[in-house]
Amino acid sequence: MEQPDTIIHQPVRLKIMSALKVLPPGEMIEFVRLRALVQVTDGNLGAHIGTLEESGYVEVEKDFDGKKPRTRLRLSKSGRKAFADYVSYLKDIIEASQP
Amino acid sequence: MALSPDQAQEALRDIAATERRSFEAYGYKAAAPFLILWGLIWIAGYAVSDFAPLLSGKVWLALAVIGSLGSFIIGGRQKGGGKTVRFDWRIAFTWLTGIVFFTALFAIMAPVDGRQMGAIFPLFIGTSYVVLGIWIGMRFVLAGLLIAALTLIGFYYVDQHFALWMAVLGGGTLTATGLWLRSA
Repeated sequence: MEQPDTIIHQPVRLKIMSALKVLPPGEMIEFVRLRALVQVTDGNLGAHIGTLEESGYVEVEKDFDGKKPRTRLRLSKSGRKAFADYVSYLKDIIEASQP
Repeated sequence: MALSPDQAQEALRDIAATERRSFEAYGYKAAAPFLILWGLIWIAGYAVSDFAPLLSGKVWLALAVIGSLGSFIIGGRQKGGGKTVRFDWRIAFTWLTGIVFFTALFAIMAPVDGRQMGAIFPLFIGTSYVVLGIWIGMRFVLAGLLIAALTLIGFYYVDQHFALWMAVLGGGTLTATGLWLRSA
């Protein structure tokens, strides 16, 4: 990878992907919890989630918890791979710069 | 758009920081319902031990069964994303490990009275939370230290109503910690 994955490279999306990556496979995080971790507004977070969903990196589920609407998301298989590739890309840059 | 080594370092630092916070928050959320359940069980069990000591053996046994079943259900629901209940054998083996440990411990050095019995389990739980917290997050460390400290203070300085002390402060701390973790 000579160029960073521009979808993941954006700082808010990078935080979203990092937060999702540590969840056990299949485990989902609620929108409100993710917002607390990433520390952005609802609208901003929603827009970035939309971009990640369109690129196939995250899977979004909307349902009801009792009577309350709930949005949850997790990394997709391709998202997990893209994130691993992005981290490798960063590590390669650092390694290449060392004498 | 190639990145400089400094930008790459900064991105890796951001990733590590967010991963740590997410892992911590996940651990808190997963543990919260167990702490609330067992906090309520401590409140009930120790209250009975204080007000009706003759009943305490049977009541604690019943509460342990209720707590175990409740823990299995909570664990199963968490594995099923809150929808389906599935049996998680790791919970069963965690219980089995605890039972074997205490059976062996009591075989070697059995508590001589109810007061010691009432102190040893909270001390073990408090220590376990401190250890867990070292790996997951500070809130577990603080809760563990508080539970262990309250147990020792009660054991050495509360004469007549140690069980009531443990009901209110031990069980109360466990329940309050569960609510605190849930809000993390």
